[in-house]
Amino acid sequence: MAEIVWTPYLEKMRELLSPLDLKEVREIGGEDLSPIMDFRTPKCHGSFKTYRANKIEKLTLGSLYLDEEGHYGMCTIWPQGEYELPLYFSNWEEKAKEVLTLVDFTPTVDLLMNEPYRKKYIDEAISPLWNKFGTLPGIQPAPYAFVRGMCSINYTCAVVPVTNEGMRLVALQPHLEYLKVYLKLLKESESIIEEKRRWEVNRKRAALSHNYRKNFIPRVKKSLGVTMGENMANLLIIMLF
Amino acid sequence: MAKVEYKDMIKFVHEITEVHNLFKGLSLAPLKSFEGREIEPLMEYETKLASGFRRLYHVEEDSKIEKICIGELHYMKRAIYSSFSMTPTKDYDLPMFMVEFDQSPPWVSVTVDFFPQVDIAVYDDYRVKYLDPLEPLWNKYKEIPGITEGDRCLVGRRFAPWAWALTTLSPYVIDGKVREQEDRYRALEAAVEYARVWLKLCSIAEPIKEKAYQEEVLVRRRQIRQYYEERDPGVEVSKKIFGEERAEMSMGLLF
Repeated sequence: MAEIVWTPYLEKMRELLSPLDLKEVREIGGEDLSPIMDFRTPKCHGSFKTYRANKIEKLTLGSLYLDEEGHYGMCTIWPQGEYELPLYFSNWEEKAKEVLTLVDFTPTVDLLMNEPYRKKYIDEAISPLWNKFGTLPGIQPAPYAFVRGMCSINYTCAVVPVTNEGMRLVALQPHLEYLKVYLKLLKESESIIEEKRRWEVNRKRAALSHNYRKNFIPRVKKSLGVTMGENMANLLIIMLF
Repeated sequence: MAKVEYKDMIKFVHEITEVHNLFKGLSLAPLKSFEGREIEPLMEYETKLASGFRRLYHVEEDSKIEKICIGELHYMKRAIYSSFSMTPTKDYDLPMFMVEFDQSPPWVSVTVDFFPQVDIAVYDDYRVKYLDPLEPLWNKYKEIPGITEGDRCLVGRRFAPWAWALTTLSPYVIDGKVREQEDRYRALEAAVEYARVWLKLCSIAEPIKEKAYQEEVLVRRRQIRQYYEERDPGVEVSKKIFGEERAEMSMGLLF
């Protein structure tokens, strides 16, 4: 069997992020991040890094290779608390025969209650992309209910069958297209003035962080925890969320 | 693909109440008015375009269920639009049980769901308590052709033109266009099974304790109701049949 050429998720994402003045973060909440910034275990190797930048509280990006079995890529962007911008959330799980691809602008308010926010950050920003990628082969709801419950109404998720090698790049497109739109919104975003709105956004951001960690940590224990070690897998979730 | 003629379409209310005997054990009492509005004209009707009926009940000696609303609208002997909802009283945060089952010869447009009464991204325990019990049923029924076609799952996409409507759905919505008669019956079965879970959840629901939380629930619920009353495309059809005022009232009874 020919060796698989994994998709350059990390490189393509970095390319788009290159205009940002990213400052590397070495610890979060007292946790030293250096072990995960470049790691190699008997079963896998990879690198995840967290950064700060103008208007961005936390940007985490990285990838992990499970020898010949799989390639994982993840990226989250948390704007600073005074910006109402959604979170950028990208998850990439590539195997020999299929790619699970999930990308979203996770809202920082209740979309049902806040229509202007929905119109600005979802309907106008990503709805055209959601419709465009709605015909991706393998399009489907995100596998976990807690993820579906936190994602926006226009997340894109698919398990794309790799019927030919070109499908890997097809599966990557939603991540790049959503990111381009996100960076444009970030550039244009202005800090929230209204106190009530700021409270709403911060309440939801805290809940998203707490609930993503709470739900992901027991799950990665059984998956990534086995290959990269439990402590490192936990650290990764803390960096991402 | 076979079209289903009007005479062979599913008699939704009969199936729910008689065949599946869904309300067995509940002491249903008809409601004649709701929130100060007379609903008699909607209970049984016949116009040039349509005939139909709607039943509105409360459950005697039950403080949790506000109302059960179920009905059928037969349109020009071509289509049958059915709806079914169960809603909690204001002291409970149970989700709103909703079914739309609109049959036409080529397909039935179906939506079955529990509309959450809070933002579940904030209230994660709410999802665990009231929505996750649907997971096995969702996994079973989302595979009905028309909900999923080939590899392409259509869950949630029937509502795609109405972003406001997408925001009301749960992560376990069954939603799509189902064609074959056999599959239509499976979609009906999904509605029955979801309803049974909702009725079971009533038994574990506790009254809301915190005033602020209750206010949040009620505000969100009013917003859901307002969206559907003002924007549901079905209201336009109802206006032609019933006139403006009754059409809005008809939609409002569901929520």
